[in-house]
Amino acid sequence: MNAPDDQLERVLRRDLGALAEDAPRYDPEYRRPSRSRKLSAVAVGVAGLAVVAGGAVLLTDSGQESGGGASCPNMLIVKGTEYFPAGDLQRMPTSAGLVSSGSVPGGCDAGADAPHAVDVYAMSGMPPRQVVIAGDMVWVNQTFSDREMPLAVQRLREPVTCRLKGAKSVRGHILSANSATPPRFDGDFTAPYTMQLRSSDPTLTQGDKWRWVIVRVRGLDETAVPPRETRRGIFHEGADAEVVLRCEGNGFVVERVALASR
Amino acid sequence: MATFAGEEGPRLLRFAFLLTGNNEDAQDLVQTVFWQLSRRGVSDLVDPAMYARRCLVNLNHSMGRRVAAHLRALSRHPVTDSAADHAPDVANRDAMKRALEVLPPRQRAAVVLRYYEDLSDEQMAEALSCAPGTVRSLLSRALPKLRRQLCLMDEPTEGATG
Repeated sequence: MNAPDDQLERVLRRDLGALAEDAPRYDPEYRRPSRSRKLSAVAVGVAGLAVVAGGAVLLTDSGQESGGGASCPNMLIVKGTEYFPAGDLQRMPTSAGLVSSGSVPGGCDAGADAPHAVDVYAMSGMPPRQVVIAGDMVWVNQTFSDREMPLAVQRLREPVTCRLKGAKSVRGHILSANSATPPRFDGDFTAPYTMQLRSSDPTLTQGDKWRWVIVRVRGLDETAVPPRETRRGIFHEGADAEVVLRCEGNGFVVERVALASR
Repeated sequence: MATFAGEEGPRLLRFAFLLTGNNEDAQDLVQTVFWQLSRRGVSDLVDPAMYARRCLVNLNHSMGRRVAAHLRALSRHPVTDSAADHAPDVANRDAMKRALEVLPPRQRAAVVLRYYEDLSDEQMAEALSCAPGTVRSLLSRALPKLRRQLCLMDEPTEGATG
């Protein structure tokens, strides 16, 4: 250990300890507002349908947007190289060919999820040692910090802008919905609201450019509210929705939401 | 479980805060870990506290990327008047916070486990789900970055001349 290393160690021990003092006071009653906030309106509005666990409100199959246990799998290993999820993507690129197989070494609760093998694909235009696709997720080499994330991956996280010509009907899956007005009774859900729609509809994915996209949509009036009898299926049972969208500036506005025909 | 959470919660929260850099995400992480532990139970675990750290590190890997923007925003906050009396300490903490931001999640976790939690290579390997050699590799890659970020090269050292 040379002098600069000693100095660095002293600084690290001193300042990490000082920084830790800025941590909040532990509160056993804390109820996780940040990630469940946007889900709460639907969950409360359709009371009795949501799964409530430890204060976190989870919608069905909401993928990267859910609050509680959706953080696994969280590591992919390909030939000894570790990759981590690229974060909240707004668009998923189509894969550019099978590269290898990798392994996902179980979830956060390592005792419950056994390691398992997955096929690993290249992402178009990116070297696989930096970025790969596996299991409907984009994975980034663990050597990248958030500040240094490859530009192509940063772009996947940018909001999808609206380029529709007139009103278009698309099919998709609603990840979350949030009404501006608190629900007055079970099943109550009113405009205005916002929702996130995940869709593989070619109208939104520019043909086969993206495997899916997530669009943020605003519902401005009551005609944009899903009929009450369909809300359980659309919000909580993962049923596909048929959504009529149009552009307002660069944003999406929903005109009508219905349960998609099978 | 409630007893375990009560005993370990404060310490785990400080650890989570160093990993994430902000209060809300630290609390989210800790609560999520306790929720998961309550589902599986802790009675069969030899070292529940170490297991909780491992869960927390793993969770942070996947959550870490989505909190980055918030973390960057926090780091731009000016020093408040009330903190002015402790300016050197605040400046040190702020510099450390910014320095940690440049590290990838695994390297950051390794630094916190070694220099805050004081864990050995073997204990860190368990917390990070990797081999002890990987732990040393993570640290050896992280320390030069931290040294650059903290500008330690510019500080006078004992015996330095000219």
